[in-house]
Amino acid sequence: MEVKLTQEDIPEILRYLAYKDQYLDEELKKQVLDCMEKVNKAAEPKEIYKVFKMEKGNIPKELYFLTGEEIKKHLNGCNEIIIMAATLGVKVEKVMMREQIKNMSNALIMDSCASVLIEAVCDTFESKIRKNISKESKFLTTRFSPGYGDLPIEIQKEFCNALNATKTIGLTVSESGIMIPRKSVTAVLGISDYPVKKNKRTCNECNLKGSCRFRKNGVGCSE
Amino acid sequence: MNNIIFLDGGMGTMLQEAGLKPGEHPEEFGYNNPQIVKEVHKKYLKAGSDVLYANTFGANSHKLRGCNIDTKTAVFSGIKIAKEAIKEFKSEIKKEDNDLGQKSNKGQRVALDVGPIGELLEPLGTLSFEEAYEVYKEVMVAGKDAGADVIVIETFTDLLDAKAAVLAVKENTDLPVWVTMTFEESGRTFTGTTVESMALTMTGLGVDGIGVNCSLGPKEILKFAKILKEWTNLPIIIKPNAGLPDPATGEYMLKADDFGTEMLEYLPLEVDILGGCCGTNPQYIKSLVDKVNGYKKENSVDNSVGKEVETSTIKNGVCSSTNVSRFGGVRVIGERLNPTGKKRFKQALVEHDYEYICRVALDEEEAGADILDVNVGVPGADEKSLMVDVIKELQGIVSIPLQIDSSNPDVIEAALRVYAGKPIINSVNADDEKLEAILPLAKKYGAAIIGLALDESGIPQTAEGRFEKAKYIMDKALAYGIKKDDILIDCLTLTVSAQQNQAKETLKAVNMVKEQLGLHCTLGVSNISFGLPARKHITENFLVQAMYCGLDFPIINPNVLSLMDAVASFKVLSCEDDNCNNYISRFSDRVETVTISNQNGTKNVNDKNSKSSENNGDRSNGKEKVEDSKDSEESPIKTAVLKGLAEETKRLSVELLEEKTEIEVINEFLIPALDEVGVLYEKQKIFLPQLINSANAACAAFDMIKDRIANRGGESVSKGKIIVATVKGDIHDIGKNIVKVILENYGYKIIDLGRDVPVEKVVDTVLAEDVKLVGLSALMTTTLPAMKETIVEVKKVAPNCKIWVGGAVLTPDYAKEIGADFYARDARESVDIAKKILG
Repeated sequence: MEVKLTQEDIPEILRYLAYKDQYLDEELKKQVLDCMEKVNKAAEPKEIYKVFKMEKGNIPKELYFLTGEEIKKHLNGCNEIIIMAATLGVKVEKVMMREQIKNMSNALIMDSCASVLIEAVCDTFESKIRKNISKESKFLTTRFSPGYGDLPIEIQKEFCNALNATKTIGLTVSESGIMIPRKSVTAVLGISDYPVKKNKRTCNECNLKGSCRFRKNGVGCSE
Repeated sequence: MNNIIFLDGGMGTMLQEAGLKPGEHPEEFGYNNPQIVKEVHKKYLKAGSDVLYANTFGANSHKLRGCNIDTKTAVFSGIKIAKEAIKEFKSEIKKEDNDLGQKSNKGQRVALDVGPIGELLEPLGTLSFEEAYEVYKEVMVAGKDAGADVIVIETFTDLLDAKAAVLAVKENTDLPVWVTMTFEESGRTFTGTTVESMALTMTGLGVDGIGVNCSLGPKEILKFAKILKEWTNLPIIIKPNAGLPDPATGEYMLKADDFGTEMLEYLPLEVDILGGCCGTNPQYIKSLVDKVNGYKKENSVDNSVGKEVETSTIKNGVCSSTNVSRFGGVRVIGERLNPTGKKRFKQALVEHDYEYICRVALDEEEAGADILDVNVGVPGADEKSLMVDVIKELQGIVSIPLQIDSSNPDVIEAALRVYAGKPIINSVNADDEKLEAILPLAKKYGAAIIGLALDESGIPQTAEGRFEKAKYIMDKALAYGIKKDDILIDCLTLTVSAQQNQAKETLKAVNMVKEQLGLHCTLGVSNISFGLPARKHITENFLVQAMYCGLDFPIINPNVLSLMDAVASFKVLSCEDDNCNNYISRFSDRVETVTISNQNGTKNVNDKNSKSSENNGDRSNGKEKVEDSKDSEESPIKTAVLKGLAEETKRLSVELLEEKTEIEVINEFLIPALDEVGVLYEKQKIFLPQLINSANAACAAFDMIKDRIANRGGESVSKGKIIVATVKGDIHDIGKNIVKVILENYGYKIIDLGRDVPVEKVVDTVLAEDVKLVGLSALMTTTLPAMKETIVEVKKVAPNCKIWVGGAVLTPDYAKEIGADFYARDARESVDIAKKILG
């Protein structure tokens, strides 16, 4: 599955850069396009997932690390759980490290490009699953990641172990719980026999309590 | 055909079938259920395995965290179970007296199975080489004590990680060691290590077998086995998965019978050691053993001849983890990472400004250097720790192999340890004391080595004299077991303006060493022209003559275009550049406007795509120049900064310096321009990339000014020192680096401690450098405690030192709560804080 950044991703890339309708001259537009190209070239997206059965509506023992109230709410009414991980790989990290030395603003733009790309990889993965299960008249929840709501971000290690993600997609977790390569995502999705209503998250229940990138830029993650 | 050694197959899936739960550690499970593991081993023995991998793959202190057993217990348990399995198997087979009987006489062996720690090493990750070594050392010592017959380092994806493990074996046990790594379809591991790099590095380190495990199925791995055969003489180990996994179920798709059949493809390649990895079970191994034995009966050939001949056709070279520079042609060694005669570089070393050093290295790589010489010798500085730091930084940034340039054996060894690849050592000479100190290091770490054709009594004045020294070095190196193809001789370039007749002697010596000894030759080429005007002509001429005489490793400045052009041209004439392909692609777009000017006959060559222009500090993305807008009220330099035009800003600053001092240019032009950019940013008239582009533009001018001051030997302009660091555990440093760029432009001296910075390092630097302002960044909630701890510790020893913090997860309230003096929302606010504290 080849996921690449396209022209349509530019507004989102700019949003990550806290862009607020400033005048963009041709040079800057070209700079963004060049950075997109570099990220497209260096990224090697890989993803892995596993499906688990819910045990009488509860999270199965294998996924003991999925704690807190929010994830339960998210999976309410589901029969199955998908846990997934995706990464852009090490190469793009290296290219961005080099770019930080050569040209800091390129590096910054590429960082945003990579953030948008990893989301796009996850979106593509999600829509593929959605399509598959809709054939069986089943429904998929949205993605819920460690760090959302009260699901602790400290579970990344257990999460990745459950997917054998180091061996399968080269995703590691550092001693302090950070995923490396940095441009990586883990997430939980639920499968239900009935349409699932999207739980609107609020900042009150969130670990980040309004300190996230979105709030700082005056938007939310849930709209 | 050699005797094939059969390994076992997968362990994990077998244990899962026997009750191992997801998330449970196989080593702890084995400790609690030795009988289950023993039965798996016995099934493999019955299938025909000669070597059992003990159930110790994850038996290290990091992976066993949270378990009830420690490394030693896990290793001892794993080895003991495997040994018992062999013992029981043998006694059971003897009783049965069937066709399996012969197996009881075979010497089945137990391997300590060592998997990676599972965390990425610096600089991408946070695990240091030294920590990794200690973790592996504990495992290896336990394996030796438990009585393992061989140590297998497997499923590694990072060459440096594997090197740490190999050194841990070699330095703490006498056991044979095999190394297998895991590759993607592309021929690279997840971290970018190539099959060739693994072959060169591991062969150099003196392991006893190398190969590939896991990754893919037998069919896909075959091409890697072929590459390995081209690059090493060592026995090859292949332990593939049962084909590729079904994307939906994760189950491996190759059947046992087909596995055995596909593995037969390895026999004509003379691959000696075969087994299975994920998805394989005893049936697969039985299929493998049966098919191989059947094949051998049908194809019994005498293979006792021909082995020796092969040796000479093995490819050689030096490598980083991601790139090989193959020997057998002209390879340019970049000379610029050297403080000799370069004040700016010296200053960067003294100030630990590794970013500057990396930038020079990148310039060299992009100009086409094949290998980079690294010399950090500055009087009064600790060469060893500098060398280690610089090597670690460089190998995270540049992709070409490095050459360790020092005469101090301690420094050389420290660098060899942490280098992820096969480097060159520069250098030894014919002095016995040097040879005896450095040659063993080259042997142990598998490095190539440069020998200077001189000894303690000096440089011989004749070609014959230098040839003698070269021969002496060669004989010594060969006696230490260093390969001939890894020896490079430097016949020494003497300055032609001082000793004119010596140039011919050098060239003659090169020719003799090449022709009569068959060794590689290197020369520090540019030394020839020292003291003469228009040096590049002499240098280029000497370079071409020397290459003709046999110089294949010229040490030059790759950013001098004419020298690289000379190398490219030489490669056409020597037939190295097949069909002139590289020459054509190098020059086809080049527009050379040659103007023969006045009677001096000086030539001006303007190259449209001249790579050397990058060397002028132009990091502006080749943006167009602004026209001088005469009607504008702004000063041109301000316009250039606002538009982010680096080259233009620099050019205008140079012009201003004709009338004004450096300080005046900074305070009257550059800083006001940056202030205005800052205001525009605050008013949201421009956004962050534009702010940084402007900072970059100003930076080009600042760099030029720094160079001028350094060359004059003057003190650098500084408004005060500031430490910036991303706290322990965190590796998100882009925000910190942006802050650094902006603050530097305001004339502050930034001490960048990098990312994942231990608390002590911040504290020590605050004290050592008497720093009054520290900026800390963290991007993860998980690393905020480390930020708090850093603040507390700094305040303990330096209560007057102010600390400001920033990063995605921080808020002004939280900053206050953890004891920070200031919170900065962005880089711009950091400037205000710095101004407030330092002025």
